[in-house]
Amino acid sequence: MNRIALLFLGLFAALAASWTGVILVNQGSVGRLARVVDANEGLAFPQPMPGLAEQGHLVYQDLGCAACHTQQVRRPGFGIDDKRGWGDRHSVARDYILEPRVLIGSHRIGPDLRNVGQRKDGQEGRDGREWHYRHLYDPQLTSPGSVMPSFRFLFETRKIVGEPSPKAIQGLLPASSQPPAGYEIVPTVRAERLVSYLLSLKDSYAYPEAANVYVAKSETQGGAAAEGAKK
Amino acid sequence: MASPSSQTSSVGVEGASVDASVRLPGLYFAAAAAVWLVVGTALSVIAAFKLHSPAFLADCEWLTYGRVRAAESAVLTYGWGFNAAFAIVIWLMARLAQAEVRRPVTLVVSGVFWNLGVLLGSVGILGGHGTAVEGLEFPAYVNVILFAAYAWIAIWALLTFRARRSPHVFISQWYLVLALLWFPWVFSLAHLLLVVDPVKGVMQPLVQTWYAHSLFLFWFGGVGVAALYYLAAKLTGRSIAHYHLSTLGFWLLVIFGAWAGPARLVGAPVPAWVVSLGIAMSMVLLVVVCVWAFNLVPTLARAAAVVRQEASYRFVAVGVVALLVAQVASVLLSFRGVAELLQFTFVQSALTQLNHYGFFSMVAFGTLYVMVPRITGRSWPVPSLVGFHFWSSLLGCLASVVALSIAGYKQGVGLNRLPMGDGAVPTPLIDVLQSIQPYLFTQTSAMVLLVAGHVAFLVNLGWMAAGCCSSCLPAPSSLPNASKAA
Repeated sequence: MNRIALLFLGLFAALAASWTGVILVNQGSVGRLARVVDANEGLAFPQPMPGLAEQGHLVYQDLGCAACHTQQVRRPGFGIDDKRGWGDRHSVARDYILEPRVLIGSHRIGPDLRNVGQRKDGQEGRDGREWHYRHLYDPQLTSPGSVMPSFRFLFETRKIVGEPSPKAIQGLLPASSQPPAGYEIVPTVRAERLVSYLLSLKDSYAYPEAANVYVAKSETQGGAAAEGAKK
Repeated sequence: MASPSSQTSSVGVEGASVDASVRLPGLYFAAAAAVWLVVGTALSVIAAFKLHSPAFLADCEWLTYGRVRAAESAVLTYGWGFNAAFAIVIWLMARLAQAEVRRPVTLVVSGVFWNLGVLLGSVGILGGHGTAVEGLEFPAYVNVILFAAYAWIAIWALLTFRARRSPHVFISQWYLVLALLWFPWVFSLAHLLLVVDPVKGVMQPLVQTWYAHSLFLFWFGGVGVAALYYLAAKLTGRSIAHYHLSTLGFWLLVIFGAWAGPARLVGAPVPAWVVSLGIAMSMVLLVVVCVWAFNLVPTLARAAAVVRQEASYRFVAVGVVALLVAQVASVLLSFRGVAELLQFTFVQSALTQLNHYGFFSMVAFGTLYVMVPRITGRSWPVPSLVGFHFWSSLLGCLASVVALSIAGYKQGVGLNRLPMGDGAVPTPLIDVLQSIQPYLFTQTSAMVLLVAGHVAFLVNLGWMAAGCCSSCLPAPSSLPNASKAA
């Protein structure tokens, strides 16, 4: 084992080969995916995140939410993501092409959030925003027994000056969480951004590559998702 | 091919002077590693505690679970792992090349910059400036500091390798060169493609797994296996068994290893072929595991009863077992049927613990327990602390891996399987998490045990370093100006 030139050349070749095979080749395929233009709807998908949601994406990133939550719905028959209602269909590569930081995650200590904006819609008024504020303020209010920590530092308890803020949330909280008289609890701008981001998470458009395993919502609820996927 | 026993005997010719020349950088990196180890495992305790007691420190944004977990990972990887690896690389390179360390202060200066980078990065993560990229969590500006600091250490190590006196290149040196060359390549590419100018869409997870896999397999694996080959021969005083196979294992690892990274993305929205190829390459790595087993297990098993009582031998033996078990487990977990059940669960954390702690950290401890007395010319101040460190590390690691494995299996069943019965609905996630609370509590206890062992290691090392420094530095009364100042 004395051929040093062979060692260096071999290492370089192996590195270059894996780099080419794993990264460059895929960069030429999934790395170049473009948006799909739907002539019927006159829109291109995926659609860009609204500005506030894009800022919320940064809050999600800096708080390390991805340590507990994935953002990838596995296909029907591979786990039971569909039966948990985590998405109408499995995630595909095109879903992520506009995201500045793709946070698919690797642990499910909490639920998958890829379609959380869809799930909470209409559950508790005001397009689900109130549910998320309560959940972030104290997860035990919405999900008793949850191991998610509270994120009260995303809310501000402040003295009411003039008219109370229309954003105040103490009306959503139990008596034990009420602020002193003359004070109100309002979400900070970071909380507003984070909730906007969560509400924006919904992959509902059926891309051509997702069609063969697309599972309609009615089927999912009927428990026929796996069968539908196998067909 | 020279006998592998020469890997141990030849270095004894001028071993003492070589060891003495490693004293300053070796002690610096070992001490820095020990400090980061205590900090990192303290963060592990906080993170583990939060999993069953979410109200713990919940009001402190800097210590929210996601940030603590990221900081813990970064501190243990770049603080403990790299500093320990630097100490091992410098010592092994100097010893195997039979070359004294020249300008050791420059290595220490690089080390200071490296550790400043780790400190800055850790505070950055806790302050909310992390990248959220697993394995590359530090803020972007820190990576530049780390790369510059690393460059000098690696260049120094390669220059030492070039200046070797023996024409024969030992297998340990092959693995060291592999680690030294591979890391800067993958680190710089990952930094460019994930942080500076991120690639689009799911290319990010692909690059991330390629980097994280390479970081462990080629940097920590390279340094760890190099140390194992060296110590197996050194501690037992025997040749490496089936030494001729070691080259085969090395090249199989180099050629196929990096392709195995995407196997972790089973079920993810990435091209299926790259995942399937990753799984196939993982299976090829089983041949590498067999080679390591053929080389290391018989060599260590032939050790005399006296040697087996030495702490370093025991650390190394545990490291070998963990390495073999972890690599086989990695392959099993990449199979689609297994991944369907256990992906995203604490079983993955158990595997990480087995790889990073059971293998690399145990081997690093074993190496440092051999290295530090030799470079300082002193014995450990409190031998009982060495034994305490070994047992706390072994039991802590074992308890952690077992608890996380059971918790992960139950979590996987709850998450991914429907309960029996017609029309069954999935078990609520909260119920799944509640059912594994006892195991998560065991994990916290295991982490506390690890911290206790690491504090013992730090105290012993600090004590030895203080004694070594006080003997090297002139006494205050002997300083020329001391009497005048008085």
